[in-house]
Amino acid sequence: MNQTTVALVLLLAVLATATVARLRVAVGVAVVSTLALNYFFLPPVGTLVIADPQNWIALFAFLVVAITASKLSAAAKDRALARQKAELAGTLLASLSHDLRTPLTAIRIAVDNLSGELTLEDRRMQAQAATSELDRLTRVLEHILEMARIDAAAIHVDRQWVGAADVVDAALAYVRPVFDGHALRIDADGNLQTEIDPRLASGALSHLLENAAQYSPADREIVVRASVEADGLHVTVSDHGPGLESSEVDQLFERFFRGQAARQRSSGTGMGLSISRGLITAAGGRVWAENVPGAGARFSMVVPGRVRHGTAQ
Amino acid sequence: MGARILLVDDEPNILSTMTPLLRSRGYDVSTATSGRAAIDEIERGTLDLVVLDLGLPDIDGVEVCRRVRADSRVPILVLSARGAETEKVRALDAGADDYVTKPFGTEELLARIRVALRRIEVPLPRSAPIVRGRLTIDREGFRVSLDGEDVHLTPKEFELLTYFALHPGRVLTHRTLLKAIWGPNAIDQPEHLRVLVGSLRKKIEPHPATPKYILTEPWVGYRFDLD
Repeated sequence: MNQTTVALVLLLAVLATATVARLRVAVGVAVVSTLALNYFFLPPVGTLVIADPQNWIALFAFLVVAITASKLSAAAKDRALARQKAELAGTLLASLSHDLRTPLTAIRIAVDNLSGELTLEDRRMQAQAATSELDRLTRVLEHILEMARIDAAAIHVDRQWVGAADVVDAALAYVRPVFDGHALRIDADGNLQTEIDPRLASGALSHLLENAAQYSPADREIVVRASVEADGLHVTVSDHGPGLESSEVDQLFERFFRGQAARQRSSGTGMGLSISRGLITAAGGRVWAENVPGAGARFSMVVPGRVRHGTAQ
Repeated sequence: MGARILLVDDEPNILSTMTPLLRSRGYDVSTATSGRAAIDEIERGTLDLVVLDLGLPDIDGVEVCRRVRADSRVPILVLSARGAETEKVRALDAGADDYVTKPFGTEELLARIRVALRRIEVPLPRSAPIVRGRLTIDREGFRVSLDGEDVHLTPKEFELLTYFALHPGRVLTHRTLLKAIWGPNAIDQPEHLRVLVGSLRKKIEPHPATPKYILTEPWVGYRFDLD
């Protein structure tokens, strides 16, 4: 190989590195390439002496290629990221827009209907429709506020000694309306207590329950298992919904992500699971999802805390 | 019984509030909760109007418009929770006649329904003059008169006014109008349309700055109204 061929091959290597690696790495590769070219191929071979001043130009060329390519690829990555963010913001707006406009529409028509002439039975139905849509608006508003609190890192952890059943009861109280007609089996042992923030844990659990109620057919049982183990509170929620695609499992907790099954439905804000993760992360715990083949989805959460026997209270 | 309206929405509370509303105004209402069911119902050909939500669980509302338009002229009034103009334009280009954004006032919806029902188009013989309020368009003689007085229009202005007059009350997108007047190659040149609408308004509107007949639907298109 003559010197030009070697120089071009090295230049390609520098270019390839710069497109994938960070600037510092790319510059490093450029310098190593220069030294290698110098030591092995440029006279006097076997030394790092540069006899011909033209070789300084080779070094300069390697550096310029490394820096330019690396900057360009960084800019391209930034653009891709910005596009992703814009898409997310678009999804946010579309989702919020639907979740606010639909209940407002139904409430407005129901109220207009109520001011007209209706039979007693029809009045009751219109009032019922308005009430249930108001509940829905309230839930959306609560989701937005909770999300804003998580974003502002305004979640404070306030620990108390509680049993597993206390957390489940509190979570169910939040979401009672969406559980109308759903069969629910609760398995929560009451012997041990753990020191956690019950507000955060039950808040997070309520979103898991709401999610299960939304995707599980009304006649199939939703099973909640909660217990205090050696390291804190463990809860699983198993539903008999359509289950999860393996590709979705990691994305489920991302804000506004809606899985294959969710896209078929219009209700749901796409915020619940993300809020759940936000709350649990604030409490130092973790939440994850699995597919149970042939059954549905299983969501698990662990909130760490000190443990004692409940009788000590 | 009044006009037969099919209400398509997957939100139970929209159906349970809109149905009594429309029935109380004398309409004969049936409902569908999916795009598939809506298309089946429309294909029976017994409806006077379809009120269609865009966010359906199975087939997107825009696609429903497109499929229905393949062999039906039934007026479609789109209800959309999506506020974005691009969505409205997509639905209108796919064949919807009008749109109302949720949340809407009850009276506004009822007015739009009346307009859409009045529009059930009876094809006019080419020789018959089109009479719209104070306007008379003689398509054979290429003459237009306003309150009996002749108005001189250029050929393109005449074409545009005729197109408007044949689709009263309907929201016509920029794209639809450009295609109708200049042909498919002109759809990327909205400025042509803006200029033509401007000059037509000067000739037929009493106050061109606050038009009464050719109404602007912001970012979407125009609506020809003689109410």
